[in-house]
Amino acid sequence: MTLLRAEEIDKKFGGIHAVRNLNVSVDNGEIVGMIGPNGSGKTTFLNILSGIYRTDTGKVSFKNEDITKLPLHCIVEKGIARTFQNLRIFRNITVLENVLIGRHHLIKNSLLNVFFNPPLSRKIEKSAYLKAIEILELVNLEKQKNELARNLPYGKQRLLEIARALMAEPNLLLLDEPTAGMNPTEADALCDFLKELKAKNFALFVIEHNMKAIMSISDRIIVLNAGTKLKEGIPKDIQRDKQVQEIYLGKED
Amino acid sequence: MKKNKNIMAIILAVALSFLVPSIVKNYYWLGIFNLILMYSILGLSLNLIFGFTNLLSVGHAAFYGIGAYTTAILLTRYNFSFFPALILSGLVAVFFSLILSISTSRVRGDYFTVITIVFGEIFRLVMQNWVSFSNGAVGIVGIPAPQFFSWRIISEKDFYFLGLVIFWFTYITLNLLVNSKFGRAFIAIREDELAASAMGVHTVMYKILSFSIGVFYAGLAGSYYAVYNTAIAPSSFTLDESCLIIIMIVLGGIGNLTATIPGVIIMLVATEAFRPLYHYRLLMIGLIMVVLLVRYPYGILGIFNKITSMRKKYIYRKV
Repeated sequence: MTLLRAEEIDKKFGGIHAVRNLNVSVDNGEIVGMIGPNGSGKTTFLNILSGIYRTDTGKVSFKNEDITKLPLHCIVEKGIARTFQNLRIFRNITVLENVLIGRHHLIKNSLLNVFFNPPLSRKIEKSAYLKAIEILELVNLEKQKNELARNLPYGKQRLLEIARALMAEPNLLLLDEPTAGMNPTEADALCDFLKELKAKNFALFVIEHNMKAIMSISDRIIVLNAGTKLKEGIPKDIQRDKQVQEIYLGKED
Repeated sequence: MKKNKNIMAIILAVALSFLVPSIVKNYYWLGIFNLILMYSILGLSLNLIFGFTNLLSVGHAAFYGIGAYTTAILLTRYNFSFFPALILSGLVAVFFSLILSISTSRVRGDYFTVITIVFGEIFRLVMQNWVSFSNGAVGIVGIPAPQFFSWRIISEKDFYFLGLVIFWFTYITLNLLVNSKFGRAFIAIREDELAASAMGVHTVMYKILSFSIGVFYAGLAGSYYAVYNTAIAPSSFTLDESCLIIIMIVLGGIGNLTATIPGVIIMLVATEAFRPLYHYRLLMIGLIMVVLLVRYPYGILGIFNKITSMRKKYIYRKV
């Protein structure tokens, strides 16, 4: 079943045509990778999907529902969560609190409960706390749960951001260069983790520069160049493709 | 387990605070305690707005003033009893805060701060010049003593108890708030607005919420001030007053409710202690602030954190 369908996405910033007439779909439980040279519009496209930018034309639908015009904070309620290329964790609070914020829209607490019925409010918060511990165990961060997020090593901060996104219980996870700044061992571990997520029926849309990683995890890869889709196919075909090699390595004489 | 410990600590602190008047008999010192309570309420409420949500409001004195004027006018002209006037003072302050925060919901950072300064000045100037309503620069005098059934609140000691009740109400409810999903949403906005929004926090709404909740308590503090002082004038609600509250919470520790209280105590006790120095008093207070903040940029909270981390290191070394 098609989970996400983006049709005829187009985005201009002044004179720069960042994304041109792009069609992308993601199925349930599928990992779709997106690669392309710097400035080819990958992050712009992801920002459109997650509601930070609005597309000039076309539409984005998720679970057969039009989400093109939804404001940013409503997207996560529909079941799309994301991470950022240049890490946007909440640096000055603990790992645990970071993850709890990811669950914001699922905690059904009200101001009336907080002020007039503290026991009930605490019970509701407690269930979120249990879920947070569960997710932290999944990414092996439960021992550092009371550490300030800024004190974590870089690779763990990346994991923390993914954990925060997972707390929202999304159907689709948008990851913007998840292995950036990781060493090969950490990157391999992350790939294994992403495959595990796929096995749990999460759909993933991953932007990545690490070819080894993206080739090993993706079911399907989309190659972007100057805002247009150059190729789409299974990793093997993409690796052999002449055009793709050209944009990355230059033309053979 | 840890939660229970915290609750026990609060119950103990509440019990001890009610014993203060039986130890401190001197009315001068009790008066200082009353000021500490009032500024603590103001500091706690501004800490929610500034320390948690990162909305630097320099118009806090205006909301405190709105609360004071509401109580003064209701008590002197409309024969209200104190308790409804207290709640109404908070609500009227919230009403004005909503006008301010909704109309500035698209304004960010420094520009918001400038607008709050302007709002504070507008309030003060209107109160000074609208003589028929606020009695101008003279202000409103002869605010009657509040009464609860047979308890007439008139002495310093009575006001201490009244202030204490409002203070603990503020402290406990704000702690409940910041430990819920609402408090975490405020912190997320402080840390990274875009990421907060991407995690489903309606940032505009939560900023308005934080601002109006904080202002409600400022209104309560204003109401308390009006009945305690029995007279109010526009000159009590100046920009200096707003700045004083900001200084107190910065000195205590931004983003930590409990740390507000030592900050308030240091500022008020220093003000009293250096009174014999007349004009040089401000110089001394400035000196203390500079020394403290250079040494501990995170305020008094920083000192505590340093001690706990030192203790941790010591324990690790032992192990």
